[in-house]
Parts: sequence; C-alpha cells; structure tokens
Amino acid sequence: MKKKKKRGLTPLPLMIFYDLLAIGIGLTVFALFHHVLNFQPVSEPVVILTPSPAPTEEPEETEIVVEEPEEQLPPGDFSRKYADLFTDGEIISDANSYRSRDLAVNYTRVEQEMLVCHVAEIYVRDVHLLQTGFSSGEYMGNTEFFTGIASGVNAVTALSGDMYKSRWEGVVIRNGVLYRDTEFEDVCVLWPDGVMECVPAGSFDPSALVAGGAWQAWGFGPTLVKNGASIDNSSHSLDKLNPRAAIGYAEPGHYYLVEVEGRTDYSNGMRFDQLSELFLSLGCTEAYNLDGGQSANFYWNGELLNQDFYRKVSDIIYVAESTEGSAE
Amino acid sequence: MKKIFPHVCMDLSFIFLTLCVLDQFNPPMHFLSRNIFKIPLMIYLILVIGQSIAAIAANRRAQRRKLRKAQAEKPSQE
Repeated sequence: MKKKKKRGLTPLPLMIFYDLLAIGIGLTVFALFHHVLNFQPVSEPVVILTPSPAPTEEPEETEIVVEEPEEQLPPGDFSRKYADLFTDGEIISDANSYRSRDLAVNYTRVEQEMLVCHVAEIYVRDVHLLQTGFSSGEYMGNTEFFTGIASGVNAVTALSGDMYKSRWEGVVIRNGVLYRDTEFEDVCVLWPDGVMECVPAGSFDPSALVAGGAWQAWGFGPTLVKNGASIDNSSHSLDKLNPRAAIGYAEPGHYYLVEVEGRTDYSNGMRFDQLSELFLSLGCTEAYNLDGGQSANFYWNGELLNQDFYRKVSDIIYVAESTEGSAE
Repeated sequence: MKKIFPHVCMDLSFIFLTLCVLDQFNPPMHFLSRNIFKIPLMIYLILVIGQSIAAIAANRRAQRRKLRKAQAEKPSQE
C-alpha cells in the first residue's frame, strides 16, 4: 500500500505571496477584457443625410432695389463669411498659424504658473472639414496611439476625442454616420449649419439628431459653457486637477480645440470651472469636455505637443485639407 | 478544494474592492457595470454561498461534537 505523503502547512509569507499573485492575475485579466478585448454589441451604422436648406420667407418689398442676385450658399459653407481668412489656394504656414483655401488655424501655447495648455482656433470653409477619425480607420477598430491616427489623416491640428470605445453608452455620430444612439451624460452636437450645441443629460433625443442631420455628436461631457454662461460642475466626480481635452464653439465655422496638460512637473491640469473660464475668455458660447487624463492629446504641425502618456485612443477630432468631394 | 475556496473568495473580494475604489475615482470607465465585472461577481457569490454553507456545517459539527463530549463526561462526574 502506498503511503500518503503528509503535506505540512504552507508558510504564511508564501501563502500571502500566492494570494497577491492571484489578485494581480485577476486584475490583469479584468483589465484585458475591460480595455483591450472589448466585446461591445455593434449595431448597423445609420448614414445621416444632411437636409437641404429650408426655404426662407422673403421679406415684403417696400421699394425696388436692384441688386446683383447673390448665390445662395448651402448651410455649413463659410467661404464667404471668412473669405478674408482663407487664401486663394496656396498654403501659408508658420509655427503658430496655418492658412489655406479651406482652413485658417491659429495655435497658441498658454503658459502660466504650473499650467500649460494648447489652444487651436479654427475657422473652416465648410463645416464638414471639422472631422473625426477612428483608430484603425473604422468604428470599434483597435485603439491606436493618437499621433498615428492624426498623421494618418494628414491633420493640420487634432485633439483626442471622447474615447467612445471605453464605454458602452454615449452617442456616436461621426462624419454624418450614426453608430450608437445611447445617452451618456451630456451630448455635444455639431449641426450641418456649423452650430454646435451641448444637450444636457436627460434631454437627449436620438431621432432629433438624425432628423436634424447632425454631422458630429460626442458623448463624454460635462458641458462647460452653455449659451455663453459657465456651467457649475463642482459636484462632478471628475472635477479635480487633471489633463483636459475640450472643444469650444464661438460661432458657426469658428471653433476651438483646447488641450490642458496635467500630471506633469510643469503643469497641474485644470478643474472644470477653470476650463469654463478659459473658453469664456476665448469668446465661446458653447464648450464641451472630452476625455481627459492620459487620453488628452494635442497635435499641431505634425507633432504631438503634450507629454506623451503612451495611451492608445479610439478617436480624434481634427481638421485637414479637403480631399475631393469631402467638403461638398 | 476545501483549502483553495477560502483563498479564491478572499482574492476575488480584494479584486472587487480594488474595482470599487477605481470606480469611485473614475465612474465613466464603468468598472462595475460591465459583464466582465458581473460574471466573476456571480461566480464569487456562488463560492461565498458554498463557503458559508461549509462553514456553518463545520460549526454545527464542532458544536455537536462538543455537546456529545459534554454529555459523555456528565455521568462520569456524577
């Protein structure tokens, strides 16, 4: 008969080590499934058609005025509005500005005590030039480093987006295609006429976005500025000093992309009220917070300007020269 | 298995506690609402029920043994 070998007690330090190892493995497996292998249900994308401009009522004529008939521009075309900012076709750029037939971008690096932020003031010839890019070139594609996506789409300037892939909720309308219509906090919508609007949580209506022909819609938040007034976000769970990425709207065709550096030895980041103040000082009437922290990245002149945290992201907001047909 | 189950329960408890703390700091990441959280949570709950039943049974066995021992010692004392 075989004698059963008696096993003594496992030494306590070894037991603790095994438990810690198991916890570590458990958390790693969780992170793998939570961040990398994202099994989100993907619904069929809906192409949103930009509605044709509504006929405007003609005012009653009191006197006969002979005027040259002005060509009616489609909504979202700002070629006349900002004509003096655009060039005839040549590209003029330096360290802080970029001018072309389609775009006028001014870059400013704001430096204060323990604070660095990057501000891109953007004028577009057509609202469709304010675009979003997906990692790996497709919705729910594998996450990529920010610079890779930005350089891949030849962005003049770019900002990290709302990191839609890290959540199962939150509206996703990108370049006129509806991919997801669930609500997650406030929603920011860019309409085809160039108006940007922040919709408060609870009043989100996906059918209105489709009916209105939304060109972009982001779901992260919170809203920073609404109708020219700062929004109080002091009770928000993310209202701490952090790196930030946010988009602002001054008027149709005129937008701001802002990235605030943080968690570095030269910049602490911003709280929401500070970021709201920054947008108000820029003259924005609407401003919306995007995914910050290590996701916050800013691209200008072919370079990543902030400290690289080496986090892969799922989407970016950018402006680039129009390719044939894109700005129609 | 008897030896491993309590450790699995404890390790899962630590993992869930860590996730709860992370969720407090960053709720938009939805650490607690995904299936990847719910599935291990269900396994953990089943394990805890099994572990509790085993602990209750062990306690009752020990009590019964104690009682029997006490009853067996009683007549000899008289």
